[in-house]
Amino acid sequence: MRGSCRPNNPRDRTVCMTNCPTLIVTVGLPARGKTYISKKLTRYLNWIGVPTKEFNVGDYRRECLKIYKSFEFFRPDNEEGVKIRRQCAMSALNDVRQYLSVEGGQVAVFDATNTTRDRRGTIMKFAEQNGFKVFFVESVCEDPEVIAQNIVQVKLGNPDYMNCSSEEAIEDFMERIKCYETSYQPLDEDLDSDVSYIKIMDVGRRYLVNRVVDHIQSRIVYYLMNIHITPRSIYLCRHGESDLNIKGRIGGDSGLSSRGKEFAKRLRSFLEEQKIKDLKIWTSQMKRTIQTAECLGVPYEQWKSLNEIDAGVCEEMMYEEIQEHFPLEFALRDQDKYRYRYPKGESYEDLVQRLEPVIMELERQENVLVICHQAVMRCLLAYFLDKTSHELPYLKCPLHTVLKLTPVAYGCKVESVYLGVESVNTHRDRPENVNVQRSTEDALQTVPAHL
Amino acid sequence: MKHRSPSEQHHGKLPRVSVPAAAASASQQSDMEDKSTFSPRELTQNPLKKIWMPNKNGLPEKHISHRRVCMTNCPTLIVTVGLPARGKTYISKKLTRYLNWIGVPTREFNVGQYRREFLKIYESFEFFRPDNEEGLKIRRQCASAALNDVRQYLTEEGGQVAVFDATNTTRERRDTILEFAEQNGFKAFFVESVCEDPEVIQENIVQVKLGSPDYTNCNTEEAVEDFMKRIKCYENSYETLDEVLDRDLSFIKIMDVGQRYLVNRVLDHVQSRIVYYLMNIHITPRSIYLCRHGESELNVKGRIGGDSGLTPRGKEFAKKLNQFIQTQEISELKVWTSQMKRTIQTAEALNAPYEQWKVLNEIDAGVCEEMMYEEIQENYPLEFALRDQDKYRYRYPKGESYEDLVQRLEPVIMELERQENVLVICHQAVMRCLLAYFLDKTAEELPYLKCPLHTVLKLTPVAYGCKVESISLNVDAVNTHREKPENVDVTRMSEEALITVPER
Repeated sequence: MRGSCRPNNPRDRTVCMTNCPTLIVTVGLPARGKTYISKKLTRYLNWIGVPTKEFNVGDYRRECLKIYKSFEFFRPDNEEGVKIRRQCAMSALNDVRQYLSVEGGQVAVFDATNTTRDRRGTIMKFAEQNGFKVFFVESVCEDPEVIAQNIVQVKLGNPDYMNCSSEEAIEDFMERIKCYETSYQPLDEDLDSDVSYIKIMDVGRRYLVNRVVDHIQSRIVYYLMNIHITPRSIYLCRHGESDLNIKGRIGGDSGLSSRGKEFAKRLRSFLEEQKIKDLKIWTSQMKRTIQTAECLGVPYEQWKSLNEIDAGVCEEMMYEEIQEHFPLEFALRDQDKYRYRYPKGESYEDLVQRLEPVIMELERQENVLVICHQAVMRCLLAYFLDKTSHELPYLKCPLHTVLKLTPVAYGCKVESVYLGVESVNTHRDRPENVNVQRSTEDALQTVPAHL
Repeated sequence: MKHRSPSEQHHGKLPRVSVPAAAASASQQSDMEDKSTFSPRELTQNPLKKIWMPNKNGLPEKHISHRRVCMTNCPTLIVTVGLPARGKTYISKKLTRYLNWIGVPTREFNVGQYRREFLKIYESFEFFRPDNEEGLKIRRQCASAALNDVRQYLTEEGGQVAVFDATNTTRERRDTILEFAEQNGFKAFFVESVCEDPEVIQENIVQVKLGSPDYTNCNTEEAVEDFMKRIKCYENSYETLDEVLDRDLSFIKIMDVGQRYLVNRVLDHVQSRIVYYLMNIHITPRSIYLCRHGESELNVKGRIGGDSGLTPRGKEFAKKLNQFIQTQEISELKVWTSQMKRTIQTAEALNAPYEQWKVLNEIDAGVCEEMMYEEIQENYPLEFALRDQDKYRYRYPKGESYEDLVQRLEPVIMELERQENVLVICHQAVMRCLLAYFLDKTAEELPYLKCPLHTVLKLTPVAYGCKVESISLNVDAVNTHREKPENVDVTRMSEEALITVPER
């Protein structure tokens, strides 16, 4: 996230420093949202630039067993089952070690029930031996409706239950939960007072946080305390086509073209049809998004952090002009579009940092429409759809198209709605030749048509 | 920041601009009518803040005035809970300072102060005995007086958050406050501090109670003894916030000075930020060192912004800075710089690891980057005047304002709170923002704080505030501080505009 200048890389030390890799360990009975939290947290950390990977012990078990027969596998007196499960956990921890010590990972999320103090003790020993910091994330919930909803959303579709009817699956799963219940030792204020953890109770109504020791744990806690599972949709779109868009110029602060205004009107109709409850509308502080919002006839909020990427010295230039005046810069950008920073401007990487509070507030909110810009929308979309930094700058976010994102199971459903108003295309694909010595033709090969 | 005119606030929201809908297109109209009669409002850009706002007949539309119905814009009443000497006032003051700095108008109301106002003379702990009817009556009156002022602040003076600082140790008292909040449309959020560590309590008493007006005429032993008895007066009736009994309340319970937290029913953005902040502060003694980069090439030319390197004098400063740091013998000092050449060059002389933060970059002067003040006056006289009229909110065209800077620096402040000994090598405007946070300066004062080159400010938390030591490292440098001129009118003459420009 921030550039560091250290004379020596402390990667090989086992002494715990701020740069210590972190092992997040989930804790909780089945169907308490551990995998949901693991995946979401992993997605968030990767997006903000912390290399993170999740390790789901259930996946290892499915690999090992191939066929899931029934809950009997999880019975505490099933010695064979217990043995296999322990092996799977070890195998996963091995991969964790590989990821954090060898592959440059910074955070690993060890997703399993980890319901006994004994199992957690084993994990802590493993972490200590390898110089990892441990942070537990426990989810506690006794609300039968929430658990039932959880099972319906993510368990029925699980490979374990492919060949069952819904009733059979639910019945088996409830028995599976019972297998864990008697030996469940929740994190305890007294017995576990030296352990770093967050205990999430009743889907976020209450939290107990113990011994947060560093920045990353603090961010993780803040994030976990802001997410919720209330159904809602997030709508992302760009401003209507602008005058500078038509001229093939980037950046600037121009107003809408007549087609852009038409889009704004259609957007209004679209929203009315959607009948969205309590929709919040956010725009940037640039004229074109505000003009778009003005057509909607409802209150909106302007965020400076939603402003388009600052192209610095290239502001308001056409790609042809950038190639003419700054051919080196143009090539460098194509070589690494995510990290490339315009002279006196920003990079996508900077954008992500600037947009983090927007994402945090989006997590808190329910139905929101964000009217923003191409690069900004790519960053937001990459967060919701878990895109890598290589994919992010090339995500397709055309004008006059609304993306409706609805959280479902462990991810996000995307519906793309084109509102039927023509516009220029502003998407420039990565050209084949990104070499600094390339010809002008090669550089401009993928520039979209404009006036 | 504490603003002079809270009525100008965006209802205390963090610096985003809320724009209400055009009155004409109320949702009661039918769709058909809407589409044919609706025409979007024109936009004008506010010349000071460069914000696009809708206007009617050429005049900017006013915001809707504040509503009584509880919505996101509902004022918040933070209520402290805890025995004496548990850090309630420390938390109240710090939280108030933070919220004001990020732009949420906040004020604290310390009931102890109301009591001191009323009683004039504090005799002994006997006043606080639970069987002292006269005492109880007075204390209840003081609490009511404070709540009255809270109502005034939140409802009429444009305040967004009020911190009601008192023990509030009984459920009965808290219920009274909840009723008050409900009647007035405030959201209540409780902040409880629980601590049984005798060392911490002792340290607390030494740091802040001995110096209290209550104990001006006592020696240390007498004061400590009396205060311990005072604490006992509360202990029997103390009803801590309970997971079950108080499950419908919004609160954070801070245990053992931040080792553990219980957080219940966080309802909105402000509460979420408050929780995040409270979970990041600590009371471990440490110092924060703030300084600017060494003198730069553009500094000596009298030009603002840019990304130039150090002058020979600037390099000399960097060397002296290194020596200074060595003499301070600071344990585990972290060094932070911006991503501009001049701060990094300065840090390089320290021969220690440092971290570059883009958000520590100097304020972006947009079209005025690398200009001299004389050139700004020549090319943008209107802009120059607007800036002098409201230096905090003024945004350079295609640039930033101090207000924007504060928003961008908030993660730095949050991390500074988490850290211990840190040296921040930054820039004039940035340093002013950070300093304003630590020294609780208003938005009006902030842009004129003196942050000269080649001077280190050492900030050490003490009692409820911050001690500042200013250390000049005795290397000459140009002065880059421009005072507010007398005439800020847009019609002023060049001479009047440039009268306070420092020499170069």
